[in-house]
Amino acid sequence: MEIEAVNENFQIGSIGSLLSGKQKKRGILIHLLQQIQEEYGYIPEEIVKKLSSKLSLSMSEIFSVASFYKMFRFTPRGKKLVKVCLGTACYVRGSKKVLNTLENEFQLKNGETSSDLSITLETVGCVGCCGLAPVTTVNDEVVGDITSTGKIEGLIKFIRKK
Amino acid sequence: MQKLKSLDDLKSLREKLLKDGVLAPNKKRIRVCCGTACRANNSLKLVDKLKKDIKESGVDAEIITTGCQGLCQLGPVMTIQPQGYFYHKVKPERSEDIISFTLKGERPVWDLLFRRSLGEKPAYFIKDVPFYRKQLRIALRNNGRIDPENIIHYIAVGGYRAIEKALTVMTPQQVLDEVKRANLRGRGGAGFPAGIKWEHTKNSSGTEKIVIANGDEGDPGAFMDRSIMEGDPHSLLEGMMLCAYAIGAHYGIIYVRHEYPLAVKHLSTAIKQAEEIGLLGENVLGTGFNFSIQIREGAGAFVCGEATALVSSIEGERGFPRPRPPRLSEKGGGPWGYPANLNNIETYACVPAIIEKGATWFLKTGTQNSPGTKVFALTGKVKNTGLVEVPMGITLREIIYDIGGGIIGDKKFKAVQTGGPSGGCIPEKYLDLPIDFDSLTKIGSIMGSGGMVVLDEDNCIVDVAKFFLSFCQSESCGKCYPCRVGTFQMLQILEKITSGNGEEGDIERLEELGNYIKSASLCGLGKSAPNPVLTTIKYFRDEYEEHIKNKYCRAFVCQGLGQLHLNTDICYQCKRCMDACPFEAIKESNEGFFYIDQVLCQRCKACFSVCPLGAIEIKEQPVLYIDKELCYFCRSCINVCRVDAIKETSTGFIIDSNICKKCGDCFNVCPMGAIKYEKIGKFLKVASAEIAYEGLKEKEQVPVDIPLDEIFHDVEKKICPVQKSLTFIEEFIEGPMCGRCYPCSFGTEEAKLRLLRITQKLEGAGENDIDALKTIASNMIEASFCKKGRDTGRFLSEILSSSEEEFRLHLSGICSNRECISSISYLINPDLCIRCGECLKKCKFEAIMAKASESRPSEYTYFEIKQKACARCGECVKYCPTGAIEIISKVKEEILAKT
Ligand SMILES: Cc1cc2nc3c(=O)[nH]c(=O)nc-3n(C[C@H](O)[C@H](O)[C@H](O)COP(=O)(O)O)c2cc1C
Ligand code: SF4
Ligand code: SF4
Ligand code: FES
Ligand code: FES
Repeated sequence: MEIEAVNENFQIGSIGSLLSGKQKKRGILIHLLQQIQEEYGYIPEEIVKKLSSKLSLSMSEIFSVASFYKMFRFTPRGKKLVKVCLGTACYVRGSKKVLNTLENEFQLKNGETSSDLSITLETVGCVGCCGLAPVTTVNDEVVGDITSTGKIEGLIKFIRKK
Repeated sequence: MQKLKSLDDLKSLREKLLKDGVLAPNKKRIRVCCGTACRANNSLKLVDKLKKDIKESGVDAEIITTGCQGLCQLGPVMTIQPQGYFYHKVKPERSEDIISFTLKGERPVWDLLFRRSLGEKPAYFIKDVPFYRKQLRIALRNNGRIDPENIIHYIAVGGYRAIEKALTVMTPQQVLDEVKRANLRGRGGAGFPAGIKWEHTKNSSGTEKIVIANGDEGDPGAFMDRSIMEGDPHSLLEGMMLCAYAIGAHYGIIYVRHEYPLAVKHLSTAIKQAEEIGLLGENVLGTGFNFSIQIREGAGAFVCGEATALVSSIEGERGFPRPRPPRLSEKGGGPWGYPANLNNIETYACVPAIIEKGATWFLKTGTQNSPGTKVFALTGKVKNTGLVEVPMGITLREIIYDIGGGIIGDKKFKAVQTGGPSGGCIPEKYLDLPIDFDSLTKIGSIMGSGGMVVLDEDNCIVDVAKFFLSFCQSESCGKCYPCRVGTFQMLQILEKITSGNGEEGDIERLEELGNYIKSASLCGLGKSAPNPVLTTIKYFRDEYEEHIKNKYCRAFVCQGLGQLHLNTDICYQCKRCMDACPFEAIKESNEGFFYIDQVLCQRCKACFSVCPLGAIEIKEQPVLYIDKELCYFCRSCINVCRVDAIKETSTGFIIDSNICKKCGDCFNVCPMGAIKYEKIGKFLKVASAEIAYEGLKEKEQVPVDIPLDEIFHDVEKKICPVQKSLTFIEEFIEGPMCGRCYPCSFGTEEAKLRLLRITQKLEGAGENDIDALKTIASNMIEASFCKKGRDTGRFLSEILSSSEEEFRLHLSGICSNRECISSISYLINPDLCIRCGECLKKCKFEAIMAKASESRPSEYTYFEIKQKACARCGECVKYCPTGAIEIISKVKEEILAKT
């Protein structure tokens, strides 16, 4: 997105006629952050820098707003988002083991993204498929019952293939 | 689309649509639900397949993709015209059957009809389905009937007739009065009458006003507003237009939750179409009424559903709630200071019906104080979950049993949570209560936005309360301490209770904290966050107590509670539990039976859920104790206990029930049969109290008493009582004070400061210092743990009472013993001075001034002390051969000077 080309009058819509320039700039901040996240998958710092000069808001101001809302993330996300369920049902059926295996296999810690941005490893507290525990989701596709024999290899293959 | 330029244009469009037979009831038509839930069940594929097959078969039938039709659980659902058959769980492959049987053959597809059970007759039409029978649709009147992305459909079913009526024959005031008379109460939270709110906004000063629709719906498990925005966006727009017309606003904002992309899509389409056709924008239908609406997306913060936080968020700030006043309806309250009227989506959706049919019509449904209907999202352990709209005053039993079809598996009903995380749990005894805003508030819950979660006997009430509280805890914006810290503390206590570590007094602590949080938080989130916990304590206190005292969870939900047994009579040794147990707690005994080793068992209940025969039983934990009459101290139990739960006290052995795993090893090994067990928790208290006492004795570190003799010795050297006390306190702080008790550690520090103030006659020194010293002294005497602290207090108190006069003198600058620094000054008495110059040589501070003279043998004429430079060290006094240097109290000097 071309931050420089953003037109606050367009973004704020018709209500802009009631507002001062400063209010308009502030008013489109969240909307712009949403668009940025849509495009990049996260909020990159360089863009915030540009945004800061465009909207005449300090960077800390922008981060303060962005960090309040749950939807914004500040680190890039891998193409494949692997979430290991550490909910209760999965935990007691050995999902910790699954997490450890995946951590070793992909050389990533929980919450990290590989340097080539191909995969992000996260944990989640119950995805609502406890019957299949332990469960892992790969880009919202659910893989269940991983600890039974041979399944974990299958999961790794599945992740690699995606 | 052709733009409508006048009210007549709209009328003639409507007539034309009627003539063209748009949505005419006698045509063949399939209404397929494409709400979010049905989409997840593949309804879009079904629509494609139907379209394709219809085209191929050449039947003249129309397909309408509608918003949610209500019975989401059995989706995808559809209705077929002209007969009105209602089908559920329709898979794409059934498309051919539907076409050949129903569209061509005009017969139902039997297996797609709804049946309560196999033995019963199917329900052909939607009105026969029990789920819909008691419903009455006002807010959802068009949901499931029209295509939400087609404004023509909305107009064809009578849409925009209300705004037409308002613009033609009603003044803004009349619209407002009608809404007020209908007593439409806000559907989003507290049930504040919408008409009164509109009136406030209308009457507030300020030129521009804003109409806001609150579609933030963050309550987990609620989707009423989503369904309206997705399924019938135009009724929301029309409701907002009516509000704008009534209060004189030109701008509208819809704040939509960011997790609702479909709602955003449908709303944007609706706004675009309404603008194109001339129903929104400048000069609506040529009447001179201007109104435009725009959408704001939230960014994932529950608190932004709160009115003032929503305003902060619209302005682009962090979503912190703001203190009121100003209220939103007042100048300075709404976004950018413009007065604003904020209502819930459902509230607005009711308005067009009220204006079109009149308040009198609306008042006929519902109860006296809460007219109309309410939409609920019925979820949890009921057979039919989904969206229901019912008249106010219906009973919970009707909703849960008649509409919801009862509890899954015909289990026992336990409670129903209304109002989401801000609401409360309602027990069985209120099932027949007619529900409206006021009746729910009376029993401690709220209507809220309309979430309704049904719980059965398999739900643990403490666990549910914990779930809701943890939601609020993680969503607290953090502005107020009581809300941010308090909810966290409550959660920790609940965590403790559900993990089997609850203590006596925890319930009271929860209640106390809950009430603090409620009274001291700024916004509705904090004010209502403790509600689920408080109401469950109110109605299910015994279950909390069971968790705490008996360490037992009757719903078998909480881990770490109860005791698991393997019933060897049932067990057929399939070993599934052994594989399932992550802690290897299931073992095989010498006789070949399986048993659970209680020491290793973590009560995770994995085995319980895996056993196909139900051989694993969960029971209340017994309490083991030693019968002191029988025990002869052989210590075999102590030796055998793997967790060191048996403690030796001065009077015998006792079992600490907090540590004991109830494995029974000691029971088996005791030669005297002195170990007994009992089922109830009453021994728990006694045993653990004894242990606690024993433990305390060991741990108690009595500080060593250092004698204060040395300090007394130093103090003796001083004469002035103020100096004496100061020295004492200073020495005490330096030396023996351990800092353990507040009265002593803080008290002496404060005393030191105050004494310094007095001796130096610093600014602010006064009577209050003396009073404070007295208090400190008596506090130390009373509350210090050790003797030295009390002695210090005593010393201070004695000296204060014996020489209070001296202390007071200091306040006027006099130290009669001339020890306190600023109260005294040094002067050279010219009559005694022989001008030897000794003092000049000795003064380290160059404070002595002298003039030289030739005529005198000693070169000096005249000596004087520069008072500013003099440090009152007293050196010069020692060296003056004639004693000419005198110590004079300042005040006395002043008196001398005056006379
Ligand atoms: C924490 C919190 C969350 C809220 N969430 C919503 C919501 O999601 N939707 C809503 O309409 N009202 C919500 N409310 C209530 C609103 O503050 C406000 O009372 C309501 O939208 C007013 O509309 P009404 O008068 O039509 O009910 C929430 C209130 C609080 C305190
Ligand atoms: S009560 Fe809680 S959510 Fe509301 S303003 Fe205070 S801290 Fe924020
Ligand atoms: S409850 Fe858990 S730890 Fe205890 S025996 Fe069963 S599976 Fe093992
Ligand atoms: S705990 Fe993993 S899916 Fe529920
Ligand atoms: S989404 Fe289809 S019935 Fe609710």
